[in-house]
Amino acid sequence: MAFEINVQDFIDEAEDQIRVLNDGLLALEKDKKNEEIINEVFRAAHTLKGGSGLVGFSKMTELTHSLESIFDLIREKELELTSSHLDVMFEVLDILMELMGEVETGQFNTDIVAVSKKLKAILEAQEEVKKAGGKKTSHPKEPELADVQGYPEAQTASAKVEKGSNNKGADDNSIEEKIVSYINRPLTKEELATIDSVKQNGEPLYGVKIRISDACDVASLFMFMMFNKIREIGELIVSIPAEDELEDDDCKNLNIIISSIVPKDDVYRELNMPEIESIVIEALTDDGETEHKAEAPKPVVQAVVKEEPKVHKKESVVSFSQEEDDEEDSHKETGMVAKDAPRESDHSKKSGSTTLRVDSSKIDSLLNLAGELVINKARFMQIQSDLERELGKNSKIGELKDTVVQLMRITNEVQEGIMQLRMVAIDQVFSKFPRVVRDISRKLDKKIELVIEGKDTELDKSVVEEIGDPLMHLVRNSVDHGIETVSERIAAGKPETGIIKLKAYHQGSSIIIEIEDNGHGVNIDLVKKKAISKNLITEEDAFNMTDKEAVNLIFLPGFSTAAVVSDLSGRGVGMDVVKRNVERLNGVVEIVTEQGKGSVFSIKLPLTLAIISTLLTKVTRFVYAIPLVNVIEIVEVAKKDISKIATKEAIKIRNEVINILRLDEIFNLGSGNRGKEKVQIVIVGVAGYRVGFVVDELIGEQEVVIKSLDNSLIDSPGIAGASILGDGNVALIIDVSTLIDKVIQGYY
Amino acid sequence: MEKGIVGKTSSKLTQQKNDLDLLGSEDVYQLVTFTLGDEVYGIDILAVQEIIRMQNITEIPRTSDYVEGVINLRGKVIPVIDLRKRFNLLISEESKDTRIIVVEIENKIIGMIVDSVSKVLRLPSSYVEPPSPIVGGVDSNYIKGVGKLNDMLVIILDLSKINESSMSLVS
Repeated sequence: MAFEINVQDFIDEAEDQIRVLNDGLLALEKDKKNEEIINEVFRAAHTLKGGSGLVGFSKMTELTHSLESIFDLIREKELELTSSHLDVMFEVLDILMELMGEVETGQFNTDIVAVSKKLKAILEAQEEVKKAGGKKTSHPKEPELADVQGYPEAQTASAKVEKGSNNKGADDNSIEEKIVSYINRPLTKEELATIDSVKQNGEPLYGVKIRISDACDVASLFMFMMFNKIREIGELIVSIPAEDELEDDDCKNLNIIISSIVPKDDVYRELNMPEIESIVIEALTDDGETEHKAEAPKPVVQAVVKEEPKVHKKESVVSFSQEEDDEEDSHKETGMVAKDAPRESDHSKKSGSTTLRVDSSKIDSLLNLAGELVINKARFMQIQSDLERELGKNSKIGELKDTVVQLMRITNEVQEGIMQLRMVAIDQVFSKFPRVVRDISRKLDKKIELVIEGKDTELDKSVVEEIGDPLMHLVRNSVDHGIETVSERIAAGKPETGIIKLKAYHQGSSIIIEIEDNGHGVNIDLVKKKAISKNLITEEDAFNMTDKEAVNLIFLPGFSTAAVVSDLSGRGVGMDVVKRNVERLNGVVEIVTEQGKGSVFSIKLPLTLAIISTLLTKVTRFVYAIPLVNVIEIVEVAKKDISKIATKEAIKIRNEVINILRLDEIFNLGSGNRGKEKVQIVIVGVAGYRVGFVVDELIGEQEVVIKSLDNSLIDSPGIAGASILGDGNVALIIDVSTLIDKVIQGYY
Repeated sequence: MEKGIVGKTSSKLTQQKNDLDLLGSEDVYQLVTFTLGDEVYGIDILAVQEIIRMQNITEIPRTSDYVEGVINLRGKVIPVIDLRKRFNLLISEESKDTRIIVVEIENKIIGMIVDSVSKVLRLPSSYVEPPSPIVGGVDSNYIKGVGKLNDMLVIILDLSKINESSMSLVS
């Protein structure tokens, strides 16, 4: 366990350091003599070496050691940094990033021999020069290696933590007495023997009294499940009733004695299930936890919980007492190992008092809870309005209403607060691009300046993780296809250096990311021709198309405008993948282009993936949620205004013809509402395409928590996920982009 | 002879299986039994998460007909299948005994609608015979064995197979 903590800390730390290296090398490329940056890079390499040595990633240690040595020489002005050096170092950086990936996946097969040789070649070349010049320098190797090994006290500290938790105080015969009084019958020989051996091992004993709720149908089944759970966390010593007497479903009480090294609160959490009315856990031995946690106020903690149906009690009632503190303690101790050690030489940052590194899964579970809270808030609001309808207005209901409003406000704040915790700066993604642009533009012999704006704009961590690939694609696309070569630019009367602007900013509850280039823009006629030649559209389509529609053709699957397919982008899988990835994040990607002047790709994303704003609609007896980001407008249309073209229906809004889909029809729900004179149509749009959904009823806007339908049994095209409504029923969330794609492809 | 009914689901279950084996010298099937029509069926107790009453099911468009839809299981959305439809048995009306057995099959949680849940049964493996080709109208592929206890027949289902073929049917 101590080892794992070290690794995770190392990974976090190393990611920072690699970023420092990356930024440093890029800066050095512009100013090779900047001593401050040289020192920074040296320190980053040193820290990485120390950290990787400590956790035993020898490949990384080898590379960073060489890197450090080189920068040491540069620092001592014995070696002059050249562009070719930097090229090798960028290569090293790539390998380091690959190695980081290995650390996370646990698969170690990156080959570092080639790049390691190149690094050593630099060192050897310098050595040659030195020999020739007869100079003498200190070999950097010795003091550095000593550094890596120089943390024995840290290692013993982590070892101590592990030992500490096993070192339990064994009690005397009073335990048996306690047990006998607990189960109300004398112990058998076998039981005594088990207890004896448990005592020898110093494992704590717990008495657990469980009462099963009367609502539970098959109590015996439930008890079986309890026994199995118990075996997961420890050993069952005595049970009343015994396991093979469990055929009787009327017995609702279960008294057991178990031994387990798991802390009591965890035992409680493991065993607590919805069918349980109450559960009391009592430690029969001194559980030894007091040893490394002296301030624990209670040798016997009782956790009693009343079960209420349909309430998330597992999460909502958690005894915070011991486990939380323990965890913190061990973090503190082991944290020292990982953090202090490699940071010895890095005094520059992290005071520790203002930031807190938290395992993201903890925040995720908190966010889940906030989601449940949102659902319950919605339920309260519904109950309140139901009551008001039934009973009319009176003072009690007014009071309830005030309280519900208050609850709403608090819930929103809690939710927002937790969302804030998950927010990270988009710089995490943006910082990759200077390097990418540098590499590609060199390869293509283009001159490009990358301008980054709004790198501190924050968005949800999960979005940041997912947006990297699509953004990378768009940036590469701009470098590859957007910006012209130097000669082309000069011929077009433009400055020879092209500019790519990467910009992020907030707009309401969305974030907008723009990739703007001042290249030649998208040639719309070329796009049309290409689409026709690929049979994506007909000549007639092309003729009738607006420029906006035509530009959006590049997002169709199988479209690639580059005349020459390069290895950088334009493998024919380009833009449609970008579009799909963005849409998977409930986002929208759009392009604005002007021939000869350049293009702007803009991505609009929700700030979070967990909760989305939707328009709730009713189709037959089911509620469907349409993501609000896709909703353009809602219209009421008379039956006679719906025209039928072959099997397809369409309406005309402000001279624009819009295909309509009847959701009851495409979802096979039967057609209930065809008699109505007027129908409600929700116009939705994705990347320039508009489609109208015919629904039976509009319910209203609501924020919903997305629950994924993670099972092939219920995988249904057109359905993006599900959500739980205020009344506890499940509503399906419509996958607008898939439905629109199907319309474009002519399925509907 | 396979020990227990667990099969090769997960290492955790295997661990439990080993523990169960220690209970007696003879292998014992631990089953949750339920009925579909006149037949009694059994499934491995370790796969069962809980048993709930019927509740509102939200249909999912364009799924196999035996997939009834999804339900809200305390904040989790899980699929529910109708075992009668799954086995091509006659369809019956929902009654007050109708239950949804929530099971975990290969790390996926699903609910199965059954006519009624009976009880937990411990069946020594010597009472269990391999399936004959057709039992109770259910394809023998889904059957692990048939248990006989005091004139009662218990058809022991192989849940992993149910999941496998249902996946292939969908795709």
